[in-house]
Amino acid sequence: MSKDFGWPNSSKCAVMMSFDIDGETTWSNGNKGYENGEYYLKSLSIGRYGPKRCVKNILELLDKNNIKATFFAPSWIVEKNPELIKEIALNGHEIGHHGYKHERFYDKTYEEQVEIIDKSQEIFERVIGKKATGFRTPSGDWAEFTTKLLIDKGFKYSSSMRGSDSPYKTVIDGKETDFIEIPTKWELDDYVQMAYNLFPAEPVGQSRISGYDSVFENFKWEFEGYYEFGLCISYMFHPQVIGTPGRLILLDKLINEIKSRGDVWFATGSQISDWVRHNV
Amino acid sequence: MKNFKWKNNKKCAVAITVNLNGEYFWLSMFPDSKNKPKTLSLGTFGINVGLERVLNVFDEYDIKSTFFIPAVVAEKYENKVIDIFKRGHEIANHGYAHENLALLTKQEQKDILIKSNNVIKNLTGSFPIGFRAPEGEMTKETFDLLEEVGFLYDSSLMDDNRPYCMNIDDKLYDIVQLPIQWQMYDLPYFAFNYSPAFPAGQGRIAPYTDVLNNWIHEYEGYKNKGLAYILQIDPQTMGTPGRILILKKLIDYIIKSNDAWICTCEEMYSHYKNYV
Repeated sequence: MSKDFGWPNSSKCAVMMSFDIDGETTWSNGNKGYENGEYYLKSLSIGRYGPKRCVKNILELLDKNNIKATFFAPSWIVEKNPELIKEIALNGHEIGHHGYKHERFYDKTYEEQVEIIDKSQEIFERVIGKKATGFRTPSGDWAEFTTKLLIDKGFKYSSSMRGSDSPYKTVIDGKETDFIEIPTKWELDDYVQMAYNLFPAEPVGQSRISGYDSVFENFKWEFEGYYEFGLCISYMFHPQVIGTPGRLILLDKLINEIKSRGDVWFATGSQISDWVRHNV
Repeated sequence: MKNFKWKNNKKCAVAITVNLNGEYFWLSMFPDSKNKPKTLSLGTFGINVGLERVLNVFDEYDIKSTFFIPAVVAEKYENKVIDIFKRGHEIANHGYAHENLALLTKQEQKDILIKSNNVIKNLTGSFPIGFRAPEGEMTKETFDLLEEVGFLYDSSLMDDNRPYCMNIDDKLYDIVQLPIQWQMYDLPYFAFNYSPAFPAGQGRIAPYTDVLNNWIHEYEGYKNKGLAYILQIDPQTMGTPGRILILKKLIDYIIKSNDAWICTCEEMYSHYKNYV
């Protein structure tokens, strides 16, 4: 996609660090095909590791680097971990919508989608005192009508699609709207490359956990490209994956390499979408 | 936990643990392989060849390890297991025939735990205090049984990087959890077979250097944060002539750092228990 706009403070490129706190939800959803699969404690523990241990270490790392990030959390996770979610918000990070239990919106009727969103917004208001304005679609696709629904429900942006390298104004029925999409990419996703379980298998083909050095080199290659072309890179991390002691060292190194360029704008989803809405 | 320190004031703890699954890794996943000697030989390699290589590395570095052994392996290869025990290593429970416990009834699980504990006691003279679920799953029932049968620690879950006291759905257990992580286990990186296919999608065998580097990156992270680095190896994958060198390089690296208390799971459990 061609890009004909700049970033704040003459920055050459924008960086959105986003973290999906899926916790146990993806595992209990994924295991539903097995009798009692929702209660399989080993795979649930892989998910719980995120909110239980990794998020705090990530907050520390972000704080040290003076970066504000965007956390997308299923509201079931918000309900179960209110203190943690409050801490994220108090540290100045944004918290976005990510379903109630990480449901696939594609499979849901209009009414079911409304119900998930309304229920989640109530939980957000109760725990952090405000509704989410950012949306990341959980597990796969959403329905054709979902964008319109999100606008009706007061969302300002989404970070769900894969079709561009920079944010854009969503077009509905041939008309440009103020609803901004900040696309992300599989190659910027830690889960794709390092999430693993043997039984039930994750990924389904049980592919290997990648070498960390190669993963972070890929992340760096992509940054170099986004920087070169002046785009907005949106890393999609998962605390349960990126938050191991070893991977956090490499994430810290990646952040420092990005920061060393000087003219890079680290921003939250809201900051990026506001900028695009008013300057593009 | 206030004032928690690892033994000898080391920054972190390291337990290099062994899952001696042998051919039961394959048999439990693919029951049909009982008639497939080539597939089974992937597993028996671990016991007949790999094991001695691993034990020799432990002797060379004066490391005591914890061996999680399906009891049927202990019955079938009794002399090997007695040798492991005589060389100073801890023997712990890893099911009877490496069963996927979550697929069994509570009674079946209980029978397996008791039967396998008895097999181990016959060889070592005492019941094992530790358990690791065979590859596969476990439920709350499994933990209720582990407590009932008298295990003191379990090393199966993945939600932390340090020992902790078990609590499931607000029920407190006496069992201490010594958590593990997939990325610190050689088998998922290296195990391979065409038919029956493992991994399911027949992904390539991981580059050895990547695996060593991942383990070293994690060690650095665990060390900096004062955590409990628990590595899992299976001699059938770790014990090839080339891969045993990965293990040696990792141990060299850890020993040279001089920051690690290298211990068995039992020692880690006992040390942790002093603080709770």
